[in-house]
Amino acid sequence: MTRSTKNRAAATSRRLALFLAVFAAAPRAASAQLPPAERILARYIDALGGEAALRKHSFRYQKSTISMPAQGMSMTMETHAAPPDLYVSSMEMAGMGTVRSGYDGKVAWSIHPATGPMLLQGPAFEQLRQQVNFYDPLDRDRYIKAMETLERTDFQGRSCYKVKVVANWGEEYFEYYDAETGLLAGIERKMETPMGPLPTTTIIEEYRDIGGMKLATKMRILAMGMEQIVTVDSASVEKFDMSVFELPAEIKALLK
Amino acid sequence: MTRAPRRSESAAPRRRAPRSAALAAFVLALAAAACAARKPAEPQPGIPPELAAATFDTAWAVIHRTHFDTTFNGVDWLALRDELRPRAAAARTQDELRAVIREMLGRLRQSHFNLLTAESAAEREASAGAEGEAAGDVGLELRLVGDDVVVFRVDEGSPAAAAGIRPGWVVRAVDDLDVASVVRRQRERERTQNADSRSVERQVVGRVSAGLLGEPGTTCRISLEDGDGRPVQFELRRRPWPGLPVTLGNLPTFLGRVTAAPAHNGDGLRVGVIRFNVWMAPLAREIDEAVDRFRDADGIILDLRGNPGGLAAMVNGVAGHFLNEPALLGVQHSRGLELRFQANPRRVNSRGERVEPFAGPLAILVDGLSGSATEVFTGGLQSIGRARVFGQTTAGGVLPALTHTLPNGDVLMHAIGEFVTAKGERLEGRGVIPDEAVTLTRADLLAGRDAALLAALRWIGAVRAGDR
Repeated sequence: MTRSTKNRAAATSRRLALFLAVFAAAPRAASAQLPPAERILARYIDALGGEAALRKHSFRYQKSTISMPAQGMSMTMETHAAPPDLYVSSMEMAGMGTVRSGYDGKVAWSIHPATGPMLLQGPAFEQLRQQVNFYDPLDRDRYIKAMETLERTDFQGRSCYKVKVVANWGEEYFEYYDAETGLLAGIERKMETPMGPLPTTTIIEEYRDIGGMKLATKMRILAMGMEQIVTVDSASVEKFDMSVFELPAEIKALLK
Repeated sequence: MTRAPRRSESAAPRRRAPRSAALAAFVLALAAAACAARKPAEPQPGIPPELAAATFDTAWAVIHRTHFDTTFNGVDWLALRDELRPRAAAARTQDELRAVIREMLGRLRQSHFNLLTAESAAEREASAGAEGEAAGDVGLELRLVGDDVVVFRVDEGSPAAAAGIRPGWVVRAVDDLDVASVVRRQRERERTQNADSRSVERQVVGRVSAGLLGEPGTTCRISLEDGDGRPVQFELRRRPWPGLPVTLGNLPTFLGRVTAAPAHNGDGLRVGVIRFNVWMAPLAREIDEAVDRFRDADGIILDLRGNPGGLAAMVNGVAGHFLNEPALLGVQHSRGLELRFQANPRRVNSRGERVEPFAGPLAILVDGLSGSATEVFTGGLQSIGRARVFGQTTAGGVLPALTHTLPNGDVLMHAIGEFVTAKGERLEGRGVIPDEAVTLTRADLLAGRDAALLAALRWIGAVRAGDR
């Protein structure tokens, strides 16, 4: 962390202003009765606990369980994260082994027992950087070019605002915000994989109040006719050794 | 991997699902059909009509929702439901219900549509706590030559080797199983149901081989005809499986194994022969190490005869050991989705050191029992000209598949895609056709000749001679 909380807040305000200006420049007549995307986003931030609460911590450790009931599979995953977008994860799965991935601020990587060590590039690199943005949904202008409210619609049985998101690298995807709670209810997006883009629907089923903030603690992910259930079992914001983000030897060798 | 913080009662918000979770789904989606041989199911007790109907409906609906071909290979899927559902609902036992579901799957006449019984899953779960001790074998690998089940390979140091059993001997019986009757039944199926001859070999060899498997320490009685036509009989005590039993989700346990050994073609060249019998991620490390061992060899032969497939996501990883540039091996066409089998060069060895991928001649040995992920790998590398293929045409079952647990506990395996090589060749039903066809004969086996391996060695010698 090189910036103070105050400086971070100021920078965020500037970025948010720029962000709002971008949206304001492209109104849609058909969207006149719908709340603009910036208002939906601001409401979401408030629903999570507000910007100050979101910026309060600088470390995050989570332990999750991922199950695929129809396939009889279960995995455990632990993740470490720190601002602005440092990230490392390790997933253990019977019959598969350990799948690791990470981003150290410069290099996005993965090590899969089936395919070996890989450097992520192109859209996969951009998506990972966005997804591991520590203060998300703050600092969105680092990754997002535009947002637009399209309609109020049913999403997985919930009345939601459907928002089109345009990433800085040109990708378009959709986010659904619960009209009642203001919380993000789900995402429809093509996830970049080593075998190409994979249409994926993420449904956030549960948030829990933890430390003055709301945490998404249960998600369903639908892809290729399969369903994954992700449950956050425990989480912590205690300080940990930043060496966890160091690149593994295999990745360092790839960079030579 | 890393130390967890001490306290864990507070958390910052995360609004997105972990990326690796989505990736996991992707990888597992490619699990294809390759299962350890299983014992025949016991007769099952009754099943409530509601459960029978729900199980049938689920199986039908899963395929309706996910089949990659919306024409269902020419089958009127809606009409088939109307035809078979009353029989499923009227089923009085699990076996009757399974017969109806298997008939539904059979109408598609495509690979990777299977029904795995709940009993086999229960067996797997029961053995999961002691995997290494639960699987045992006698060290024999079998093939169908004509109407004879013959010994194809005898594992060095195995109970079969200790008994003196040799390649080329004909298996007549395993315990009370009469091999000739198994062959007759499958030949009848070939005639009446127009079954593929490779499917006949798979069924026959699978059935007979299953009788040789069991708990380590138990025995099986095997009757054979030796090289001189004399009947011989042995009581073999099963050893612990020398490889790695792998359990992945609700699939039956895979008995995985990797071996690597040098081979010499008589003109001083050093060639590595790497053999693995299933595509499962826990074997990947051993495969990587085997490639490292022969990285400076004059050639590498991958012996994938009898490898029925497994986790297709491994294909790209293994192929990357033999490519100096990224290469497209083929494409999986699923409903509304196209996935690319893109292999990237593997520039790091199993010790985490920078290396160059193996650039020498690569030969792949296959036969009619080589299926699924093996065909994707072999057909893919053949299509881009990176490997020369020796042996017999592969199984022709190349549809990437998923599994789905049904309400009665059975597991439905269902294809979700079709694989097409980089040259646009469809391998389903056809298989990979070797560049050099080598017929398996009993005479060669009795003489200790591995004709396909010898052909591959000759080719590597010729390539290296051309280099000089």
